[in-house]
Amino acid sequence: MQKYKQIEVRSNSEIAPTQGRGEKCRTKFASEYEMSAYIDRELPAWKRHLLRRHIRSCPGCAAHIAQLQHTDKFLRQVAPVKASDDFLTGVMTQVSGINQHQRQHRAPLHRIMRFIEASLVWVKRNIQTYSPVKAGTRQARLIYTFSLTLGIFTMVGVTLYAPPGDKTYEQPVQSFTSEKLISFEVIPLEQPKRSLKTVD
Amino acid sequence: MFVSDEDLMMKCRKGDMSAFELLVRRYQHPLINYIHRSINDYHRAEDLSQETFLRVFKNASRYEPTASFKSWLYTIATNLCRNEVRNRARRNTCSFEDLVEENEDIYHTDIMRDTRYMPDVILEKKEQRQIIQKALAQLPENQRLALTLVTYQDLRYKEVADILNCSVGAVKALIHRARQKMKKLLIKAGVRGSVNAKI
Repeated sequence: MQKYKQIEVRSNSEIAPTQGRGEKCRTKFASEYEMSAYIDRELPAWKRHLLRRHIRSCPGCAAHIAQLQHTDKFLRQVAPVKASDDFLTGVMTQVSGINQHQRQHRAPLHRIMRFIEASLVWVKRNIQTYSPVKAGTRQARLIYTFSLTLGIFTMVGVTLYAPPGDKTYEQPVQSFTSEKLISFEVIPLEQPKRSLKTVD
Repeated sequence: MFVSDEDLMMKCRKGDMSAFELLVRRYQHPLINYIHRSINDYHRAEDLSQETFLRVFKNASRYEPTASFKSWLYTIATNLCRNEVRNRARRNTCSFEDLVEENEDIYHTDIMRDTRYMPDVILEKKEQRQIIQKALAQLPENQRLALTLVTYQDLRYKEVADILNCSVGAVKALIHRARQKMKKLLIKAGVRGSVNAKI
């Protein structure tokens, strides 16, 4: 336990800044979270101004903020990674594949074909399960015709219905040319020609 | 003429592929950077970034211009990062970069290209990057995500709160705790001089 305490004390002294060590803010002007927000410029202007004035007179708070700023500065020193050269091409290829698939499924001819296919399957199944020819009664024929018509209308509605959001895909594609990449070419300056002069 | 992300997204909703391409161009590097810092694996970060953009395109019809596009994009990326970390923990696997630390080619940075004739600078940068990545990996998930969004993506606390689905006060607390913990971890890793204040 004593050893643990010793380690704790040593590590705290290492963390503490060189000046303002052990000094705590007596007024507790701002919470620690607010000090972190201060260095990120997330405090309102009036509070930021008051805290700045307080820091000038309080070495404890000044040391604490300096520590936070140094940690932040150190973290920001790492160079950012960049996407590989073929990343954009890869994304656009996949997206165009999805777009083509969506367009194909929303094409009118594709819908009609699906509708015909679905209605054929439905009719065939109904004829197999219940045949009015076999029943032979007029009432049975009427029920069969009514259900067939209702079924067809339902299928038409379901097949041709498209949600409002999806209709946007049918609009013509607009070309967008407001922002373009600018390519630069570096042209080296010509060096002045030197001529040898004879000294008399 | 600068076109806002929201306008580009509205054009994308109408099926304008060039608008979507412009959005990808704008956010490809920041997004990969963010995911890389969150999961510490460059190749997986590229895959997840690609997945993020695909999800954006698929759900373009659901996008409402009232919400910030940037927040929406980072929310999708954050969810993917969380899933990735969870799956990795379940499978008990480690990232590719933990195994191949010597490979410099996976970092496409200008600094690396510029300093290729200065081995001491390369070594220093590499060590620094490894220390920071290891320290970041030791932070709790929410603290790591919040700190990455604020430090490396320069997002406001309000935007981070929207992305992490918490209050601004909670973001303040997360950031502060993350910085305090990072400071301790960096000191432990031997970068005391750089982290401690020199007043």
